[in-house]
Amino acid sequence: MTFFYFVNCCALTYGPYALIYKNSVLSEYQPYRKCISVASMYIMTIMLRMFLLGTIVPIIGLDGTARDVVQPLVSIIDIVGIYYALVRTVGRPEIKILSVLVGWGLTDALLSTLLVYWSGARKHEFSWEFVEMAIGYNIELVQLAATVTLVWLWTRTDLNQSAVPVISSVLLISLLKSFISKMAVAGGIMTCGLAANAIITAGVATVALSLFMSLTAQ
Amino acid sequence: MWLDDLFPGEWKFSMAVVPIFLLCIAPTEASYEFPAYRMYQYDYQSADVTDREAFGSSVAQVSFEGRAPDAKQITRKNVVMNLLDITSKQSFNSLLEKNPGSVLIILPDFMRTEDFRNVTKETLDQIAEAERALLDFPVTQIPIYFSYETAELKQIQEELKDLSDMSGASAVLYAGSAVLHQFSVTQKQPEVLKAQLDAIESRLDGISGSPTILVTTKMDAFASSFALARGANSAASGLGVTLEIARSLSMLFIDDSTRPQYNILFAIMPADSINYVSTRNWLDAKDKNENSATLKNIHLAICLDALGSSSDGKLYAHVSKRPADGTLGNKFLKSLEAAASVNSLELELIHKKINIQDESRKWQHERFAFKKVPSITLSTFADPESPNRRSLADFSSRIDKHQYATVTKTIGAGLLNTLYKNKAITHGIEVNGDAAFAWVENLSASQSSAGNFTKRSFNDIKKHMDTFTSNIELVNVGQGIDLYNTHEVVMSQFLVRPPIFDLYLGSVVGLWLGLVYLLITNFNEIIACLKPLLSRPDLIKGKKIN
Repeated sequence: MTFFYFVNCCALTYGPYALIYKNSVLSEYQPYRKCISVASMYIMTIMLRMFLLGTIVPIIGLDGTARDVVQPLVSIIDIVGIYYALVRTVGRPEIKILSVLVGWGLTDALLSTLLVYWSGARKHEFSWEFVEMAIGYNIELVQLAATVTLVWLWTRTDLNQSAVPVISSVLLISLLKSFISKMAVAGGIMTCGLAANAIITAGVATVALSLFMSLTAQ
Repeated sequence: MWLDDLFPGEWKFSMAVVPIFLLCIAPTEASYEFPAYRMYQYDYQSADVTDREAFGSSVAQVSFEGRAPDAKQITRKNVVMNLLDITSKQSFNSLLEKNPGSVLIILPDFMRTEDFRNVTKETLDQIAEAERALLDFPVTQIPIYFSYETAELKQIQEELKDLSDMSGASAVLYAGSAVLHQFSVTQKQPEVLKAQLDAIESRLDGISGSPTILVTTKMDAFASSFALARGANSAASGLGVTLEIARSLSMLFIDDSTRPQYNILFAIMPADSINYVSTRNWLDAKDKNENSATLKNIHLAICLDALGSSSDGKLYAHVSKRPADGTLGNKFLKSLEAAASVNSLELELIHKKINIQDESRKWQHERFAFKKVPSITLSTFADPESPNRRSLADFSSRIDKHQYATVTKTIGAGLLNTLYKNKAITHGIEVNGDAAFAWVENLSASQSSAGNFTKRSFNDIKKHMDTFTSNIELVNVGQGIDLYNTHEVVMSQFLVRPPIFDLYLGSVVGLWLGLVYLLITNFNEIIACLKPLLSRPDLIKGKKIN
């Protein structure tokens, strides 16, 4: 029960990242150094975000719904971090996006979930929450891919000016995703938070993919 | 790989150690923890046998899934049953023959609150029958625990009832949804207690050269679980009367003018509930050390046993040999009868010859009879096999206070009249029933099984005897018996999934990862399919900024 469950949850969470690294276009380039530098950028970004959360949110003194809105907005710092990571990475568009995705996403998943699984999933008592967490992080992978793509598009110079607000609004939606899904669950539209999360992510990812394909079409 | 830079050498092999290392650190958190009390365990050596015979449950550790007692498969499972489910010795033994991993017996709540006002006689009889099945148990390797009923345990029992036993193909199919209760006690193997078993012996000296009357009783109780043995009636009642006799008669022995022509010797035994082994050892010690000098001087041994049960106004005197006319025993019985009639109590003499073939001793006086010491046992029980003599439900709230006071007064008056040739005016030197009952409440408030007696209670008794009597002595009477520790443990219960569930989950995760793999390797083809739908270069692509 215990150790095997822990292995299952880890495989579910980190497996996709490992597969992307080993079997997609990235495997030809072996950009492990790039991924490590992206990982360090991620760590700096979240430290900055923690600092901002600690200073800004108490100052404004909000609680309840307002806090649910403001807190994700502070996560704009994440977008800035991704921007810097993209800028520092060199290569083809796909390689850039994928290496930032793997580096950022894997570090995020590892730091957030490894200890949780270690202490929780290995207990004798069984709980579904770890599988739910793993599924959530799979959805986050898709979300992160979309976000990285959108930020990359935003950095491009050959972009139609009318497309920029589209990108900004979609990024905003992806930041407020948790708030929107909470509203949906509270409002009774969806019963499961994960399902709401998945639907929003699917929408965001489709837009991002469409924009990416349009821009890279020859 | 970059790891090659971090770990020179064959890092892949050194990483293999990690899972083993990780497995050793296993944090556990239980969902429900409750106290559980182990079944008794002791080794007893009868006089003519060299080996000790083991009784009770000898294993403490539990790590099994829970099952209801009527489940089809209970091998290596923890059977959770109510005390009232045990209907007979045969049914319990047949349950144990199916080799369960352990048994958890749930005691009804009124046994925890000691409130027996609403309990019907039928229930009490059922409890007595269940206890009969649990006593005199030959040694078993199956851990047997008792625990009081709580709302959570009741719910667990309900859930266990709903659990359907499946095996084979259906088990595989339903394994994903089945939730099992796992019970766990992490305890080392119980060890022999090194505690000294001491009899408290003291005396009140009469005129020198007088014969001796011995007043003896036991302080320990026996029940299916030593941690829950309180023995208000079986032990504390006799002890209360003994202590009260010591106090009230001590006044007579202070002054030469009132000193009777008898010595009174008190002996309080620590482990007599197990076949009166302490009395046996005490008599052997007296035989050996003093060359039977004391024993030869004892003209009557009065053994007090279970004086608190409601016997409908009867007090029983058990003898193995009817005391002949002119002996001290006869005189005592006559004065006891007179005192009984005054106090509207009926004294009944029960004469039963000792069966020498049978090793088990039913009453304390039988031990004295072997040493040719005239002895009588006074008790409110007529039947020595009554399970109420060794009951878990032996609380002070169940003692008939009024009758106990009457019995106490009768015994005190009977003894007083024996001490003096003529009728003594006993006003003011009565053995007080309320004081004796106070002792009963005090001593039965905590566990009082052999070897488990609280130090506080032991010291209280010793101090009392020291105050009112003289020549107090602790005699070691622990030979031939081994008592074990580990009476109270914490049992934890948590929900687990059957191991097949892990396999299910593993296969689902494997499938998902396979899907992801296919997605990634065929990414280009997927893009090509989606291109006509999603690609709008005219909308997105802007003018190149030169």
